[in-house]
Amino acid sequence: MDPLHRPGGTRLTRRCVLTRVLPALAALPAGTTALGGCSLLGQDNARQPDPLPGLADAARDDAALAAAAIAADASLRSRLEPLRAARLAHAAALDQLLGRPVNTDTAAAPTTAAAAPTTTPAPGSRSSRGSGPGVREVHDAVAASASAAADAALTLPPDKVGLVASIAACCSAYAALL
Amino acid sequence: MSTAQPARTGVDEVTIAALQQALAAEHAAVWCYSLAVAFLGAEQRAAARTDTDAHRELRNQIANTLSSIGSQPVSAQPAYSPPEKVTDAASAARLLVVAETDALVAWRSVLERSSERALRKAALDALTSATVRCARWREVVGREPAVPQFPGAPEATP
Repeated sequence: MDPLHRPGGTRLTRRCVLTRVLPALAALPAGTTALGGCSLLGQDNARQPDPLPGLADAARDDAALAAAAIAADASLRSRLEPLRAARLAHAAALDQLLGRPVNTDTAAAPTTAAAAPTTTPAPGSRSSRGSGPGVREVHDAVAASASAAADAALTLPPDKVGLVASIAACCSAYAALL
Repeated sequence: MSTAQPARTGVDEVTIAALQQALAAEHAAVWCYSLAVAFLGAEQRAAARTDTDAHRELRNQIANTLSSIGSQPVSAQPAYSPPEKVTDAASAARLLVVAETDALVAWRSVLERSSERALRKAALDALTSATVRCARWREVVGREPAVPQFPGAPEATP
């Protein structure tokens, strides 16, 4: 057999490993951010602002946007309510990770349209059908949130990356399915 | 054992173990789909075939990656024990929810056990595509919400 499974063996060729993992696993479109040259070793951990507060705020914003869309058009409830609930859950989990007090008001928000915030970002905020934010706005917002969380998941420490990766995957799935 | 420098790139034994677990989950998923597909209706069968291809592709990619870094890829088991006997379309779809959920856990674990950016990106892509597949099967079986809120998280933990 081949000399596999030598624990030390893999370390010797770590640089090779990197170049091989990429084509094998990461079918990345050319020119994406992560792979600017061979800067994979060590440059990513430079001090950067903690992305978690921004991700938590985005989660709350998405939930509010979905609530506003539901308030504007009740027929969107079945499509958007699960997303709204998920984004509130994301915000609560991120708050917890940040050691912030978790806002139980929003975490336990009722699922009726009455839960829609009164301060919606929708201009004019008329509540007749079609005048508030719609599926497209919610889709775009959650897609942007997915992208932000995915970026953060590339560099976060191990104890934080799991949650943020799950949030990224959840948002991406909604963006794909909406 | 000779020079035990901690691996800064993240492609160390912990990462390899996580990749092996992801491979095992992909093996199991391929097996589950091959069992389930015969019980599904025509439309769902087509979706299942597409999903099977996705799992085969991931399985092959992990196996190739492990081989290339000198780690013997784990083999598929001859058979797996579904948590519930598959007898019809509904139980077949439920099995696929289980398979996808297991894959989600394995892929999130790869992210948590690697600091290597490219590998994390690949694992996140796998986590994301598995979330979409999982959502579809959860919808088929009537599980709400269809999209899991924290894909890949251990039960009841974000």
